[in-house]
Amino acid sequence: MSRILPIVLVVLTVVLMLAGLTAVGGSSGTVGIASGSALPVFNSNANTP
Amino acid sequence: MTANESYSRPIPLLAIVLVALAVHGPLLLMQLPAGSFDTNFHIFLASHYAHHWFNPWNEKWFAGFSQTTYPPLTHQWIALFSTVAGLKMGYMLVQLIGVLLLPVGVFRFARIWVDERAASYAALGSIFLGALAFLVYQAGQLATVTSAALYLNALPYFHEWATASSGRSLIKGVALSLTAAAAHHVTLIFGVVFFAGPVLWIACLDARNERRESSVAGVLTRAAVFAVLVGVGVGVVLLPYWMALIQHPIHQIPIPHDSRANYLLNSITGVNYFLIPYGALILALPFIIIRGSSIPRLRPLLIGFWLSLIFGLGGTTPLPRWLLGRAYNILTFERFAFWATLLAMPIVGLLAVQLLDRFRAKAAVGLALASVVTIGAALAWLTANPFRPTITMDVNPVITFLNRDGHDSYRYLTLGFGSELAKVSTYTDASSVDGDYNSARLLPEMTQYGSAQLTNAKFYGSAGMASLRAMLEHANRYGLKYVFVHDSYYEPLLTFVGWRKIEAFNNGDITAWSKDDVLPAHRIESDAIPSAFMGLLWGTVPIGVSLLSIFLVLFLPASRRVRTVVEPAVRVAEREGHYVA
Repeated sequence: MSRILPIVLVVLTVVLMLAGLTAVGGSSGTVGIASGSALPVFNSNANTP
Repeated sequence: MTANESYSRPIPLLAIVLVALAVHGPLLLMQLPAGSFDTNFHIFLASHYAHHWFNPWNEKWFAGFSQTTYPPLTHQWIALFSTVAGLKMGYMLVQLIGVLLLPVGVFRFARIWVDERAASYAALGSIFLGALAFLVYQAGQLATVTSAALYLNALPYFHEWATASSGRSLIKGVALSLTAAAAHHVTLIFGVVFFAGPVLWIACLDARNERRESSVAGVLTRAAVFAVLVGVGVGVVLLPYWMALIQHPIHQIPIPHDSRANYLLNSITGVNYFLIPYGALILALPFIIIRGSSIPRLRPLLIGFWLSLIFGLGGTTPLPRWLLGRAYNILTFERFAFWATLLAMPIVGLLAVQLLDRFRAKAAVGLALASVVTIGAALAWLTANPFRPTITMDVNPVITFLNRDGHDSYRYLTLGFGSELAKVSTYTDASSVDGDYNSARLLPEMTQYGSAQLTNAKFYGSAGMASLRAMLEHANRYGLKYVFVHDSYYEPLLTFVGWRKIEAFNNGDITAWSKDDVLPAHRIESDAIPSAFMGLLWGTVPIGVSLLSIFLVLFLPASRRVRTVVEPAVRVAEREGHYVA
């Protein structure tokens, strides 16, 4: 277990990241933020919920 | 004491708390979080409690919304402190209490897994976490930080109750858990999986391996009792919240948030939500994984950490979306990174022990540098972040305008104000159709579009502008007469739908717009208005539970039995075979 578990976790992480890269819409960010068009005083509020 | 001896002793908890006070006290007294994303929001809610403690219906946003949609504890404590220190300093004091409780919680939580020395290093390290600095000084997530600190303090009691059947631990654990829920319900809900799950797992392992005077069945039974008591208690403490949620489930169109982006495809997002929160902990990830795997007692903790780590990556992996379903689009994911760092700290404490035993002064210098660089980077990021919250305007003229000549008999809207909207709302008597709290919105002009605040409408693209236009076209319905603009982008739209510029503030930095044919605002009737009984519950039970917790922790000592059954947890020299049954 002590040798298998690290390998399992690392492989799972990599597989999930690859799946995230191929998922539809997985790369989307907030409109205006991801494209770098945000202006001063813009706040990507994080109070939900 | 020789230098070698000084490196092999645990750090006293009081000294750790004093370090936390020395590091975060000045930053909070300087009111550094005042410019964070959510601070004005929390102060706004606290301001309402300061004026209307037993009436959670707040008419200043969304033409009326219920504050029972957000757990009240931190806001009510700010309201209490505000009577002597003012709202802003009240916020800082409550945040400071949360920050000071955190290393205490980390120490007590780490003691479940590791010995006192490693736990003390874990607690000391937690003061310098990038994720903590990120949440406190950039995000302004007061409730998340405070609730996590309370929850970490509750879990050792849960462990003691489950393994040693201590009635006093049961009482204190339940009271602290309810207090954590009263501060932030989401932390408690996810904490069951990420924090309580591993603790229950280790309690069962200890029982199976006869490290405790208990059986696995006994541990599970007592855990079920604890869970039922906390479940019922949370139901009662937050009853108005649940009633509001059942009456008006969150059916909004999903609102984009950067923490749901794929960090691999957006470098700034990756820095913001991964590099800054983890800091030097990234260097420790191999040790966390390998040591966490090699010692059976640490495996539950490792699994909890890994799951939280993956969730903290937001949209980088599809796992959160798969497991959370619709809730994925309501949640933001920076808090998961914070929880992941907390879960990692006991193992990081072991790493510190190992390094100090081997390299002594060199390791101490290296660990200190790593800690300072981590929190330093998070603080530097406050100015280096291209999307940082910035305060570039003086909103006092707007507040003055709304508070004079009966202008507050109409509703208003701000455009381009960001989180300064909450500041305007706090200090004016006028009501706005907008607001800075997504989950409380009920007006169809807002919920039917995939955008958040109207004041930030343009950043949500066509959805945001459509939402804004719908609201402007229904101005007469809501008594919406004044619009304050801090971004000329919106001026053509205002002109197009019949508004005219009437005044300019701060040399034209902010302009006031008006619509002539609007009648004074009238109260919008809503079935979301809480009853007087719910207001009474909301104003008494959460704060009462927190006072009860303080009383219990201070005046109900741990039972003698609990003290004697606690055995040394994992030490650095221990290897896998030690605990194999």
